[in-house]
Amino acid sequence: MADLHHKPTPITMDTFLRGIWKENPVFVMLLGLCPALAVTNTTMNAIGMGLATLFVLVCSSALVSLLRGVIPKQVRIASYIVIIATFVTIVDYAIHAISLELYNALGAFIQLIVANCVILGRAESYASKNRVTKSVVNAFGIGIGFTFALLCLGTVREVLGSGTILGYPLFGEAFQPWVVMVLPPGGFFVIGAWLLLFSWLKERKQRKILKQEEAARATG
Amino acid sequence: MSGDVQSQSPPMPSSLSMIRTLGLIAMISGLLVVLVARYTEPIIKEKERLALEQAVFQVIPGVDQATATRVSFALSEDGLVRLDEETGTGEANLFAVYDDSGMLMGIALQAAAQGYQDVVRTLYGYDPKCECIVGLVIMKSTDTPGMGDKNTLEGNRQFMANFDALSVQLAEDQSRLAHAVETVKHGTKTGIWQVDAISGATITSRAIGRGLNESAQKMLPLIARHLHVLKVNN
Repeated sequence: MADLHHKPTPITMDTFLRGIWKENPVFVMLLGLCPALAVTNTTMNAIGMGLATLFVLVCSSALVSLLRGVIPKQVRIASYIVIIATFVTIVDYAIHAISLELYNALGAFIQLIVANCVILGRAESYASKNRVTKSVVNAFGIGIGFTFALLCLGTVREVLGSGTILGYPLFGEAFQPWVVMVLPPGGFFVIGAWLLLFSWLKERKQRKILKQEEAARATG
Repeated sequence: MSGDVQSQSPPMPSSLSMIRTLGLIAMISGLLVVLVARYTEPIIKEKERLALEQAVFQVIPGVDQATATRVSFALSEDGLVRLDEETGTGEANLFAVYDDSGMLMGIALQAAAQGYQDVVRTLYGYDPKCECIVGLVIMKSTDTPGMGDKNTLEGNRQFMANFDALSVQLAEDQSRLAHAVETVKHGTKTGIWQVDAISGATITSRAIGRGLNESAQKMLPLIARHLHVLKVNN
């Protein structure tokens, strides 16, 4: 069973923000790429999948954290999977009841959230070791980060591949859609471009810090 | 060495404690799922009913939704059974649409066949007067986005025109179609029973044609037998 006797660390802004930027599950940790590539052919699908994953992530983290004191180590993975599957089933019913179109568009990928390593990873590495509030805040950050990444992919793919955004046409009749962008290869092209951008931003930031340090050393 | 490792590893909990924990989690899980399923079931059913109703009216040309009536039937070798709107729509495999005077305007039937990624489900309108398919909506297609998905298929006017008057005439013995519905390569359509495929979505186009053929071969001979009952809404 999890050790509950260590001193809990406080919740900071970083607990929440880390998952959105520094530890973004898709752009930094490269996790959950299967749904990130498969269902992001439209912005609406990306939002739907992102929010569904966010819900499962937050709820499963809360329940895993709540039960961390009673789940024996030997059966923890089985327990986490059952908990995650429960919330995936709930979100599956909810999406079916909210929008038939979105439900049909996301298809089997809703059920496949069970196998999303972002969620199991959060349960194993964070929720099982932290208090409920902290786990929920962290899961919420990671979920927002995942949704943000899917939105980045979905928006670019829909704009280039269909010439629309959320179904509204952007370029008029003359626009020839770049169909490859809504196909699986397009997913790889777009994620490659986003990863390139993220790496460039990271490198630029590091260079800036280095320059500031050198300037501080020179003056000091 | 092995003794050291043994002394460091945590004590194994009893099987009973593990069973108890898994049982507790399964119980919470079951309770949550049942609650949500019970709550969403009527909402889902209502949404599906509305979607089906809209699709039924869509596949029969010239329907005035304000005055037209839809009646669900279960049609099989055993006979034609009129279903209660509230409870029996789930078993229905035939939807007859009547005008305000109770005369038959057309019949909507379901078709399905395996596509590229999943089963492609369609609903088509059948006009017994011309013995042809007069309209089609894609109920579900998750095939290649931008090529064989529901929106792309329905947005392709040239492809959808195949189903404005697709011949499904019965053979003289009324037991099968005179010509099986078949999907042909784009630009090679010669017969009024053929479906001109979409270039780049051939598998999806074939699935639609195959689904229509299987459904029509099975249902139309049965409809012919019961047409006198279906003609007027009593």
